[in-house]
Amino acid sequence: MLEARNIHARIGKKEILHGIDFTAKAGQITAIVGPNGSGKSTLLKAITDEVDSTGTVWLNGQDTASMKPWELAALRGVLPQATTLAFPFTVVEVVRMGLMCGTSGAREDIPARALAAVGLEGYSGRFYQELSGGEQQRAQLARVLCQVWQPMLDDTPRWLLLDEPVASLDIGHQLLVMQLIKDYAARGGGVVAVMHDLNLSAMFADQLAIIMAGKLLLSGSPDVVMQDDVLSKAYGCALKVNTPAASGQSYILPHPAII
Amino acid sequence: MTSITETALPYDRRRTARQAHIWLAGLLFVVSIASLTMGASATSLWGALHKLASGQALSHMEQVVLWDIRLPRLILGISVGASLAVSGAVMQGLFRNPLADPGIVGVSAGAGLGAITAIVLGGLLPIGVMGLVGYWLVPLAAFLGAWGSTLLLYRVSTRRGRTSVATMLLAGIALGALAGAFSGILVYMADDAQLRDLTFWGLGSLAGATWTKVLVACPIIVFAITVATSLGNGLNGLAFGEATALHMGIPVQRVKTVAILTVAAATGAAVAVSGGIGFIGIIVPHLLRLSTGPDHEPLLINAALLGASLLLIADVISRIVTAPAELPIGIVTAVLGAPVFLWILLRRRGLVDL
Repeated sequence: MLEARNIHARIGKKEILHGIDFTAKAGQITAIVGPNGSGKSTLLKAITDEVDSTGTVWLNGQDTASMKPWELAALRGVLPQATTLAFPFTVVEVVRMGLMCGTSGAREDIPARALAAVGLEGYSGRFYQELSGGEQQRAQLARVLCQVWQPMLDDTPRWLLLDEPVASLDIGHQLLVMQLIKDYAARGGGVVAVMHDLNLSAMFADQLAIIMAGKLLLSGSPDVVMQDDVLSKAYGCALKVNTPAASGQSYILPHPAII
Repeated sequence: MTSITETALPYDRRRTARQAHIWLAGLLFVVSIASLTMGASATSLWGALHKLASGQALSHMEQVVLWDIRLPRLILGISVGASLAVSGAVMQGLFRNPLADPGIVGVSAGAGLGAITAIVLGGLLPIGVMGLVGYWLVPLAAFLGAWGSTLLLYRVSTRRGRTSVATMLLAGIALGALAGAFSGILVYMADDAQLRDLTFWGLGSLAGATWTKVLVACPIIVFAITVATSLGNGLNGLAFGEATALHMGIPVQRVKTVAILTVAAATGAAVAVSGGIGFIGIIVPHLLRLSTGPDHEPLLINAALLGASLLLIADVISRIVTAPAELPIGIVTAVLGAPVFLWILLRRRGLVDL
């Protein structure tokens, strides 16, 4: 269980989050969605102590403020929106960094397996800075996976906290990565992902949390959240949710004709 | 998940970088022998060893040249070269910038101000104090200047337990300029003999090496370098940015504090005994990154070995090109270093831009 209570966060002098309570369960994907500037990335950064924030965050029942960086690193991997490197590391060197602190053990075959899992076989000798944005994001995901390779550590769930893990990926790799984190959750791990794409979120996430103007608008299963009125209010535009009877899978299509 | 059983991936340069420890240690050994053998005096190391092996006593000349001049100079050269190269590598890792060096945080400017103050105003000290520090005044002042400026900078850029690397960079430039201005005032006040001392101090030299200098500077340098080589993982993490480093489990603040303090100690001690020697701190880490990759764990050790070797080579050159006179070593490192640096930049432009 990952629990955040009464989170206020500020960037500079501006308060971005105004008291958010947020809960994610292990074994599930929890997607944080919302319009640009609503504070969804800031919520993730408040949970990982990257921004100036108040409130309490518990990870598996333990107050994260009382945990050392290496204790946290053993339990959770964090993927930023984008990562630039100061020096010319190769892909394998980047991915292997995940091994140095997580408690995956120094199992040397994990980097290769993580690279294969994100569809980057054969990329190990490429320079990270020469990859496309989507490939860089997948290489970083492979590094984070290395850090918390086993979803469970002695009956304790481990966590993937991902800031827009698929926003820069093509549709094939979006599905690959979403399926990968779905498997991770299915094996007992917890996944919290800031998501841009509502349809992918509805398809893969177990819980959706909609953030609007620094507050939690609504949180619940995709059925609850994928409603015309909820989404129209959150995004400030008319939206139509379709749910074909055959699949029961809700989706929205951005097309004027639908409205 | 996929079941790939591949155990080692290609293009992992860590093994190569570790093998380089052995090659570079070999290079340092060879260069050390050369440094003991070559010089203005025709005294030969082999001749001396041969004498010792056959039970003969060394001549007074051989004893002085080898034991009192070349050996302390060798040890000091190794320490200073290693210290400059490791300090450069640590600063570049800390500032996430391949062009950073200890000069950036005002360590060198602080040391320079200390040394200049001692040279110009040293005569004003009471006789008693002079008797106490005497010959040691300039190195001591340089060391204190380096430490003082670094600690000041560290305090300025640390708020609520967090050090801002960006603030440190900007404040370092400001403090460096201030130290430069004070140095300028002192240079303005200096007489001709002092100006000559200042110029030579600024160019750097190992010529004044004595066992006393070795005994004072080397323990500080060896300690600082040993601590610095434990920063490899931390600096690797910082290459990903501070937030990501923290999420990798790295105690970021501790790494920053240790990095700054070890660099101040190592550079302060090196500059104090040898003056301003440029280019080693930038060129050595650069050469190593291009050949064996940027992984700081092997890089810091390799930097110590290569830095020591290159400085000894420069020292040998400085001794023989104008023998029996001696060229300041700072001139040699700049004359050799700058073109090599440019050549690397031009040859590997694509990679440097990465």
